[in-house]
Amino acid sequence: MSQKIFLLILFVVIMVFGFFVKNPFILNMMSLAALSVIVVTGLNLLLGFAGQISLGHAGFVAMGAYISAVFSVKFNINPWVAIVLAVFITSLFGAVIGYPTLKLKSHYLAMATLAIGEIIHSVVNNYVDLTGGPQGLTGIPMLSFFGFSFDSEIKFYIFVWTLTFLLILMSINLVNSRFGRAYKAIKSKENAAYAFGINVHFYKVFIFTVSVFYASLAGALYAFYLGFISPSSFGLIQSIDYVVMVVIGGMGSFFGVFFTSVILTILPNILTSLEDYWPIANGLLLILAMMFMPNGLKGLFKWIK
Amino acid sequence: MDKIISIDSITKSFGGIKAVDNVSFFVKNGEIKALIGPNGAGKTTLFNIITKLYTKDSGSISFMGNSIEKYKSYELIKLGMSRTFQNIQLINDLNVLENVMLGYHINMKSNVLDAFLSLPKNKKYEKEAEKTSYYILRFLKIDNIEKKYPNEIPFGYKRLVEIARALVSKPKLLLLDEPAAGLNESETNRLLKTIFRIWEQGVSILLIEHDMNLVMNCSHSVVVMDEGRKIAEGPPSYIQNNDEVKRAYFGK
Amino acid sequence: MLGGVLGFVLIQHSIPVFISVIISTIIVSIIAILIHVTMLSKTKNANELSLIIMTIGISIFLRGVVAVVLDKDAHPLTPFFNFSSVSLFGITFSSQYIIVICAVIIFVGLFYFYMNKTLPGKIMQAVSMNPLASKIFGIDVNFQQLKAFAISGFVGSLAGIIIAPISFVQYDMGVMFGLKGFAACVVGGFGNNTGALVGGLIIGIAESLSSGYISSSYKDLIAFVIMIAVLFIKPSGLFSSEDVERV
Repeated sequence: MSQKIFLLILFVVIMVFGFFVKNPFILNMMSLAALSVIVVTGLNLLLGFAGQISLGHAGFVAMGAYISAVFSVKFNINPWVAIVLAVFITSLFGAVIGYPTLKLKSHYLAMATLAIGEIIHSVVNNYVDLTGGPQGLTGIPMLSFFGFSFDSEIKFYIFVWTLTFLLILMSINLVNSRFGRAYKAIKSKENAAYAFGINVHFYKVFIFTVSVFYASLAGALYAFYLGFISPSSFGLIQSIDYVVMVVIGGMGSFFGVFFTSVILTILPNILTSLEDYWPIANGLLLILAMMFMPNGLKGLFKWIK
Repeated sequence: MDKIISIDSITKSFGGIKAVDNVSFFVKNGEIKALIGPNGAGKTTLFNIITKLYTKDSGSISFMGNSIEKYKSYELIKLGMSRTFQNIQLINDLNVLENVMLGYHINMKSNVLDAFLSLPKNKKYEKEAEKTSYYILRFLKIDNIEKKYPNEIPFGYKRLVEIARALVSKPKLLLLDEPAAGLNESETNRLLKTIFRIWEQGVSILLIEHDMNLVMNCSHSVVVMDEGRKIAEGPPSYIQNNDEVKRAYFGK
Repeated sequence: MLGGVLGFVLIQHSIPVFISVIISTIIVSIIAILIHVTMLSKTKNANELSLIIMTIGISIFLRGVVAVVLDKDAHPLTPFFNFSSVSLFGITFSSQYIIVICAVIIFVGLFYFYMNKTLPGKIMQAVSMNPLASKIFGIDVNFQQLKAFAISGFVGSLAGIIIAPISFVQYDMGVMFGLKGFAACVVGGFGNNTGALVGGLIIGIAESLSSGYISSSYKDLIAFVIMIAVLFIKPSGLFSSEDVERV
C-alpha cells in the first residue's frame, strides 16, 4: 500500500472519530495529540532521516508559543499574524543557532541542543515582564477566521488535524524526493555524501530549520488553543518525550511515530495520578527500545511502501 | 587542453609523517591511468586530497585547465569529477536504483519547495533521474537488481553499483579507488570489460588498484607510489621491468 | 546527581560525612558498572546515536526514580567543616569552596598523571582513539570501557557530594553542572585538559561578571552564549588541533 493512501485512510478515520465522539475531554486530548504529532513529525525528519539529534525541541515549541502569545496579548496583534511572525522568528533563530551547532556531532550535538533548550526555558522563566515568568501567561485570545471562531472542541479538532495531515504529507513528499535520498546518505555515510555533491552542513542546518518550523507552529497553536501557557510545559523532560516518541515509533517511520506520539500524549493525560512515574517509564522505554528493538515500531508498518 | 587533471607537487603530512610527499603527475584526456603502490604508499590519501576530503599542505591541482583551489568537496562533481570508495559506501536504506539516483542529485534542478509540495517540476526530475539511472544500470548489465537493497546483493555487484552511481552524473573524469578489491577472478574480468566500456564513452579514468593483472591489462599509463613519493611513471611494460618498482614491492 | 543525593540521604541518617562520601561514591560506581554490563555492552548493533539515546534513557530513568523515592524539592546540606566561612584577602567564602577547589586540583593532577604518564592510562586513550586497533593489540576493549565508565561514575558522584552543600540537593541537580562542563570543553577544545580548564575558568569568570554587571537571573545563560559564540568563530575550540577522519 502506498504511504499516501494509508495517510488518507488515517485522515478519514480521525475525521470520522471526531464527528462521532462528543466528549469534549477526549477531543481536547486528541487535539493536543495532533500538536505532538506535528512536533514529532518535524523531529523525525531531523533525527530519523538526517540522523541528527536534538534535545532542545521543547524550547522551540516554547518560542513559538510565547512569541505569538506575547505579540497577541501585549501588543494586540492579530493572532494569525502573531502565529506567522512567531513561526518565522523562531525558524530564523533555529537557522542561526543551527549553523554553529550542527558542526558538532553525536553526543556533542546532543549536549549543545540540550543547552539551547535550557537557554530558551530559562529566558522564558526569567523575563517576567513579558512572559509572566513561572506563573505563566494568561488571556491569550481564541483563534477566529473571518468571524468563524474556533470556539468548540470539534472545530479546533478538525482544523488542527487537517493541518497535521498536510504537514505529514509534505514530509513524506520531501523524503521521497532527491532531498530525502540526500538525507539518508548524510545519516549513514556522511563522507560519501560530499562526493555526490551534497553540501552536508547546509543540508543539516536546513532540515534542523524545518523541524524548528514544525515545532514552533505547534507551539503557537498550542498557546491559542489553551489560552494559557507556562514554562513548565516546555522543559527538558518534554524535549526528551519528543525523542522518545520518535525512537519508539521507529526513526524514519512516519506512521510508527504518528501512533507513538498520539498514544504517549494521551496516556499521561488519562493516568494523571501516575505523573511522577512517567520519566521512569520513558527512560525504561528508551533503554529497552535501544537494546531490543532498535527499529521501534517501524517493523509493524513495513507493508506501507 | 589535453590534460584532464594535473597534480602538481602535492604534499600532506599527518603528525610529522609525510603521507604524500611532493607528488606530481597528470592524466591525459581520454586516458586510463593507474595509481599503484604497496599498502600505506599514500594512494588513497592522494585520492582524498584530489576530492577535497583532506586538505593538502602544499601543491596545486587543476582540473580541465582550471585550479580547483576554490571549490569545496561537494562542488567537484559539478565540474565533472566523480569517485567510488575503497570501502563500499552504498546507503543501506535505499535500494540499488535509489542509490544510483543519489549520484544524479546535482543534475536535478527541483528545489525544496517543489519537493515538499510534490510539484510537477519535482516529478519531472524524479522521472528523469530514474530513467538515467536505469539506463546506467543497464549499461553495466546490472538492471536486474534495481529493486534490491545493498545488503541483499553479492559483493561484486556492490562495486558495480558504486561505479554506476559515480557514472550517472556523466563525469569527465572517473576516480576509482580499488575497484577490484575483494572480487574473484570472473568478477575482476567483468570489471575489466566494464572499465573499457566506460572508457569507450569518452570518460577519462584514474584508478587505484592492487591487482597487477588488471592494471597491466587496462591502463595506458601507470604511476607508482611508495612511502608517499612517486617512484616511477610510464606505460605498463616499462613499469613491469623497473628496478625501483620491484624493490618497493618485493624488497631488496 | 546520584552521588549528591545518596550522600545527602546517608548524612541525614547521621552517618559521619567522611564515611557517607566513601559509601555513596562506591555505590554509584557499582551502579555505573552494572549499567555498563547489563545495558550498554549488550545493545544490539550499537551505533553512536543509539548509545546516546540509551544514556539519555538511563539518566531520565535515574532522575525519575530519585524524584519518586526522595521528592522534587531542593534540600540544603550543611558544609562538611564545622566552620562555615573563610576570609582570604578580604573576600569571604564558604568553607565548602575550599574542599571543592582542593578536589579539582587533586583530580586534574591525578588524571593528567594517569592518562599521560602511566601505561593503563595510555591504554585507555588508545581504546578511545581506535578501538579496533586496540583490540588487535590484545587489549580488552570492553573492560577498558567498563573501567572508564566506572571512573566517570566515581568522579561524578564525588563531585555531586562535595558540591551539594553549595547547590542544594535535588533530583535534577546534575543537568546544569553537566551542561556547563560541556560548555567549558567546547570553549577549550575537546580532548584537551588544559583547554577544558581554561574554558571552565573563562566561563566561571564571565558568569560572575555578568551577575555583577547585568543581572543574576541570566547567570546560567552566559556559559552557553559563550559556547555558541566560540562555535561560531572556531568550532574546534580555542585550544585544539584538527584531526582527520578516515574514509
